[in-house]
This record gives sequence, structure tokens and C-alpha cells, in this order.
Amino acid sequence: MPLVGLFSGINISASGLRAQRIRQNVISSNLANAETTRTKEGGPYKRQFVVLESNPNERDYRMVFGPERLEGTATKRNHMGIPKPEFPIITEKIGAGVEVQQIAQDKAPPRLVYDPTHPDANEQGYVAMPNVNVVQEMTDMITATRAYEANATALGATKGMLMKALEI
Amino acid sequence: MITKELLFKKTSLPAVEKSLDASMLRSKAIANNIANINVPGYKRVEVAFEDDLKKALDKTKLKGVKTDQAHFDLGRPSIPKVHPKSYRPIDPSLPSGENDVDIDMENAKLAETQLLFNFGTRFAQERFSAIQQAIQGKNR
Repeated sequence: MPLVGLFSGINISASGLRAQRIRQNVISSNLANAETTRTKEGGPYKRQFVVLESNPNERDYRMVFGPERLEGTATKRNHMGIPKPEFPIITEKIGAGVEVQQIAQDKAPPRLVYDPTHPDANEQGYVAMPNVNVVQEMTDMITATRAYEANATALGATKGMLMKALEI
Repeated sequence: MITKELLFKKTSLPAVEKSLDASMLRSKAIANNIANINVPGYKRVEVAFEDDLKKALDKTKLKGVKTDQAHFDLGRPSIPKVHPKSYRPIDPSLPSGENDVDIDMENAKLAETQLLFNFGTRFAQERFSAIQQAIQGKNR
């Protein structure tokens, strides 16, 4: 998604909203599977988390000074210096929002709970429970919610500005 | 073309246009910062504009007159040559623990940018209606 045009601000906020929504879904999955001891891969459920990456899609898209912009070379002491163009190209490098790079699995060992009556208990009577910490998931959930709200606010602000521009 | 020059160029409209451009770019920068609020190591984007505009508007500075296309700019820059520039400030502090984006700062900047943009649009409206009145030669 190249960053061009009027609606890129909205697209940036939308990418943030999407990333936080995916994060929220992953947290929901973790909470739903907090006690799951059987998975298709075998063993208990493993906590998942999203890896967010800043979209590096930056590009200079507006040429300001044309090719006529020259640079002087002083060949004599009494020559007047012509300064190099300081910003030959206007760099409107803002970035293009955020992306979910991958949904990774937590490598932490499973939580061992003593419960000999459980069908998945080992010889010592311990059951391997998922490495999901419910408290951590709750705090992550609050972070995701707040970040989602912040993105929604930014989107609303951009939208409001665009609407205002129509009033000129 | 000459009408355009007469009608708009001598007014404050070019400066307002630039200011609106800067506000729009700044809102994008803030949107990007907020979108990346949970990305570890992200560097926030800011937009520099006001100082350059101030330089262009400073009437005490000399300004070279161009009589030919091939002439260089000299002295005070003209307003159309002022452009908002984005940059990533070097800020080693970690207000959020993950990156240098401070959500409160970003929200404050967002509100400020919005107000500035609204001011600019209102100002442009008034300017245009003033020009309109001057053309029609009557009061509302």
C-alpha cells in the first residue's frame, strides 16, 4: 500500500485498527484455551502472540525542485559559493502504518498442575497445562482495547479534517 | 493566469494553503505513530514546518528578485517554496517502554492539528468570500 494521496491518513489508522483487532482475537483465543490440554499438534495449547511490524513502505513522492536546480563549484577564492540544495526532494516519509508480521507461539514451558485424576496426567500425576497467564492476557487485552480506541480517534480526526476541507 | 496572480497571490491564501498541507501531513504522521504504538523499537515521525514558514514571512529579511527562470533563489524563501518536512527525532527516552511514542503527546498534537486545520479552512472560507464580495461590489 503506497502512501499516496488524500486518504493515506485513514489507511494508516485502518492498519492500526486491523492490527489491534487481530491482537484482540489472539488474546481471545488464548483465554478460550487457557485450560486446553489437547491440541492437534499434541501436548497442551501454547500461548500465541502477534508480532507487529512498522510498515516501512516509505517513499518520496513529491519532487519540489526541478532538474534546473544546480549546484555551484567554486574554482577561485573570490567566487561566491552557491550552496548545495538542502532538501532537493521533499521527504514526506511518514510510513504506511503497521502490519501483523506473524502470529508467534510462546516457547515458555507448560505449566505443571498436580491432578492425578486427569486423563492427561503423567506418571507423577502432573498435567501439562497451557503456558497462558490469564492476568497477562487481561492486561494485554486492555492495551489492545485502548490502542484500538486511539486509532479510532485518529481516524475520526482525519475524517473530520477531510470533511472540513470540503467546506472551503 | 494574470487574474489568478491578482486575485490570490497577494493575499494570505498561499500561506494558508501551505499551513493546511502541513496540518494534513502532520495528521498522517500522528496516525502512523498511533498505529505503531505497540511496535517495539519504532521511531516516531514528526513534521517540521512552522519555522520555515516564519522565515518565509519574515519581512525584515532580504529577498532576491528573480527576473529569469534560470535564476537561483536568494535570501528569504518564497512561500510556495516552503514545504512541510517529516523527520524522525532522535529521542532515546521510552515513554511507553517499547518505543518513543507517547500516546498523550500524540493525542494533544492531534487535537492541536485538528484545530489548526479548522482554523485554516475557516480562514480560507472568509478570504474567498471577501474576494467574492469585492468582485460583486456589494455587502451581504
